[in-house]
Parts: sequence; C-alpha cells; structure tokens
Amino acid sequence: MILADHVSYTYTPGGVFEKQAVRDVQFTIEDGTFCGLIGHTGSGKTTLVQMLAGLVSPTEGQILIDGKNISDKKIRASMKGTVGLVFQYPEYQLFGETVLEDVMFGPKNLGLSEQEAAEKAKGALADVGISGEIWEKSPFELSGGQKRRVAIAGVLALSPKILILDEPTAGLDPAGRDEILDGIYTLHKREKITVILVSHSMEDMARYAERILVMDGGRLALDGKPEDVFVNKERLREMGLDVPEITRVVQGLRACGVPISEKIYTLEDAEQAIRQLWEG
Amino acid sequence: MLRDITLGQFFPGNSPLHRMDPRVKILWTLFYIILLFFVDSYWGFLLFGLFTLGVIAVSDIRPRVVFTGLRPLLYLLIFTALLNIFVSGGETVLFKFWIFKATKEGLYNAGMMALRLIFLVLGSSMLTFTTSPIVLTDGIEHLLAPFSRIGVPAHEIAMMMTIAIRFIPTILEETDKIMKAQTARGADFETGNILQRAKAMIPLLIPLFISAFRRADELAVAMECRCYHGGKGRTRLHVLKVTANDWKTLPAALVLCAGVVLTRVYL
Repeated sequence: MILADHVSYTYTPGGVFEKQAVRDVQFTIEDGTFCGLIGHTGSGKTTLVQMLAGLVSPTEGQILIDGKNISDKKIRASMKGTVGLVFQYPEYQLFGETVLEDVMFGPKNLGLSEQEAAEKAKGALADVGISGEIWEKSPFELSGGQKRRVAIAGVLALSPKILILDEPTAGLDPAGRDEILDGIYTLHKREKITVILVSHSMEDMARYAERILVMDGGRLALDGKPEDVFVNKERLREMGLDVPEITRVVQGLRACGVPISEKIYTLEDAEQAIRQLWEG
Repeated sequence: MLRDITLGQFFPGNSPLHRMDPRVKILWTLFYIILLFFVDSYWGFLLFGLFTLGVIAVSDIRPRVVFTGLRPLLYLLIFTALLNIFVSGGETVLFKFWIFKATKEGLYNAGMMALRLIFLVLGSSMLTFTTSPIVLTDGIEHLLAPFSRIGVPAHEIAMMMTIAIRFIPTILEETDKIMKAQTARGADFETGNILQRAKAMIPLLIPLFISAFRRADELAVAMECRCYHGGKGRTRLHVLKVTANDWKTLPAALVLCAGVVLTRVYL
C-alpha cells in the first residue's frame, strides 16, 4: 500500500528560483490497483512520481510504502526494486552492448547472479513482446518503439511490486501505444502488481484505470473512479484537461434528445449502448 | 549538486559594468591581467585590491558571491605557496625541515604569487559575472575578426563557443535525468571504492554521449534547414557599439596603470 501523507516538494527552497511543485498531497493506493495520474504540463505529476519512487525526498510530509518511510536512506536501500519507475522517453537510458545485457542491469544491481538476472531479463522482454532474435542485438540498432519496450523491460526485470510509468507512450504510433499498454495491463492482471500510469490521454485512463488522480497546480484536484472523475466535465476543462472523446459524442447525442446513458467512457461501451438503442 | 557550479556563471543586471561593450570589457580584462604581472610590491597589490573592490562595488554583484568563486582555487593556492616557500632559495633561512628550507624570500614570493592568482580569478570572473555568454562570444568574434585574414576562423570559433555554452544546462539536466533513471534501476553512484564508482559511471556516460551526438546531429540539420552557411555576409540583431559609458572606464584604467608604474619606480 502506498500512503502519501501531506506531501509537498519545493525546488531550491529559499532561493530566487523557489518553486513549489507539489503542495500538500494526500492519498492512499491499495495493492493491486491500476491507477491513473493525470494533469496538465507542470502540474507536478513527474515530481510526485519521483518522490513515490524514492528518487527525491519530499520537503514536507512523508511517503510510506507498506508502512515504511522511504525518505530514510537505509529503508530505501532495503526496498531497492520494490518500486519501479519508467521515466519519460526511457529509451535514452539504454547503454548495454546487447538488449539482454541492458535489461539484466537492474536485476544484477539487486544482487542476483548472472543466471538469475538473465532469467528475469528474458521474462521481462517476453512481457513487452520483444522476441528472442533481438536479444543479442545492440539496443541502438532498434526502432523507436522497440527501444521503448526494451527500456520498459529494464524496469520490469526488477519485478517491482509497484510499477510507475511516466507517459510511457509519448511519441509512439497508436499501434505501438496499444501494444505497450496492453502488455502492462496483462502483467498487472497476472502478477497483481500496483500500476500508476501517468498519461495525458483520457482515452487510456478510461480504458485501463480503476482509479484516477488528477493533479492541478501541484495539488490533488480530483480523486476517484473514472466515472466519478469524468462527471466533473467543467472542472476538468478549467484545468486544461477534458473528458474522453467518445464521452463528448455521447453528451452531444444526449443534447439532441437521444436517451443514452451519460456514463459512457469507452468506445466499446458506446457501441453496445447504441446497438441496444437501435435494436430497441 | 550539479547545479552548484558558480565558476563562469552570469548574473543578469543593469550596472554600468553590465552595460559595457563586451569588446571593451574583454580588452580591459586582458589589460588588467597583463598589468598584474608588472606588480612587484605589496603596495602595488594594495592598489590592485582597492581597484578590484571598486569594480565589484560598481557591478551590483554581491561580494559574497564573488569571493565564493575563489573557493575552487584554494588547493592550487596552497600548493603554489608551499612550492614557493621551499623552492625559491635565498639567504635568510627561517627554519629547516629535512631537505627543505624555508626562506624569507620564499615567503615573500609565495605571498606575491598567491595574491596574483587571487586577482587573476577575481578580475576574470568579474568579466563572466557581468557578461552574458552570448554577448561574450559576440565580443570575442569581433576581436578575432582582424585575424581572420591570416586564417583564424573567428566566426566558427565564436559559434562553437556559443553552442557549447548553450548546451551546458541542457546536458546538466540530461545527466540528472539519466542518473535518476539508472538509480531507479538499482544503480548506485554514491558508495564503493574509486574503481567501483568509475565503473558505475558507465551506465551514465554512454547514454549521455549518445544523446550529445544525437543532439549535435539534430542541431546541425536544423541549422542547415535555416540556410546557415557560416559567418560570411551575416548581419546581426544586436550591433555592438562603444558608448559614453565605455569611455568613462578609460580614466580608471589609466589611474591603475599609472599607480602600478609609480609603485615600481619609487617603492
């Protein structure tokens, strides 16, 4: 379980460039939740996830993971690999001579033997859909989408209990995007890991998340199930966000007098509802 | 931690020193440095000290900032001072230690050399503190322009400096990001002996180099796309101009120069 207890983060406190990126954020996330984190650029999402991964310590408040405060250096060292964070554009962290070697970097840092690390790496690569013939290639010869998946595998190979992905699909084509998100969703179902997905796409949120956290100006603005968050249409628009496209279509239909439910957030649901109306 | 580097930093402001033409500022800095090597007495250094304090006062830069810039110099200062004390030779021996002997002349030389180094750093940092890197390279380009006839690539040198300076913050940011990303994969940059630490740098340096090459490539293409083809026939947005403000510095420089000459002749 993740508990963020009145967490704030200020860059260069006391300096001329002082900037409070996260303000008094509080939430708990139960194990095994697929949670979406959404917010406008500069709303503090990235700082928040870096704190959750223990890379920066909150300037105020604390973050407890399974009841343990990760601001403490010793505790953090003992929890290495518990929280996996995939950065934005993670392909820029690749360095290994071969794909397999690069993915083995994480598990080897956790103290696993060469053989165990290779096992983990192969499992992780399979999870992201990178097949065996690529394993011995240099990661720098791969296509953009493949590099991205190898980099994600590099974090998955740590077998994290909590997986955080910071806009993992930015700059990918729709097919590449679905492949990566479906892969992660499958893993979430199979291993029951907690996933926090940072994204700009309301469609992705509607499709995968059980719960959505909305950040605005460093504060936690909305928090709840997708249907409860998407009801606040006006509020979301004020924050520079929006409801999923299909929801806007459904709202348009309702405005024209079509008796369709307003709580429709995915294309599949919309299709079903319209079919039902059609067939009477 | 990477953000704490102050050497060569620029502090924006609007003091007379900030408003000076960069060419004049560079020339005066060179003059200051050359003059520094003509000083041969503590009275001369006193004069230099007063002059430098005056420059700092005019610059609107907090003295504390200027003097913290000296900190990286500390080890060099100690090293040269020790070298001077024991190696200079001379008549009056103060004390002996194994094969080394400290002399009065050595002590005198050590003090002079230390002061010279301190003023060298203070003077040149006043130039970088009050001149933005872009303006500075612009000034250098102008000053080098006469030499382009004998084959000095003035514009190219200035462009390279501008680009290098422009990418320092970008690369620092990138370093920070890759470091965090590898830490998230369990890398450890902080513990272990020197060999282990050097090895731990590999996952940081390789991605950093690759992205630097990629960036250079992208920048070259972007410049090409905007028809960049070197400095020939290129006009500029901000034309440098020597103003009354610059002429006002002439008396100050002359006074310093005259003072140094006087200390040499009479003291």
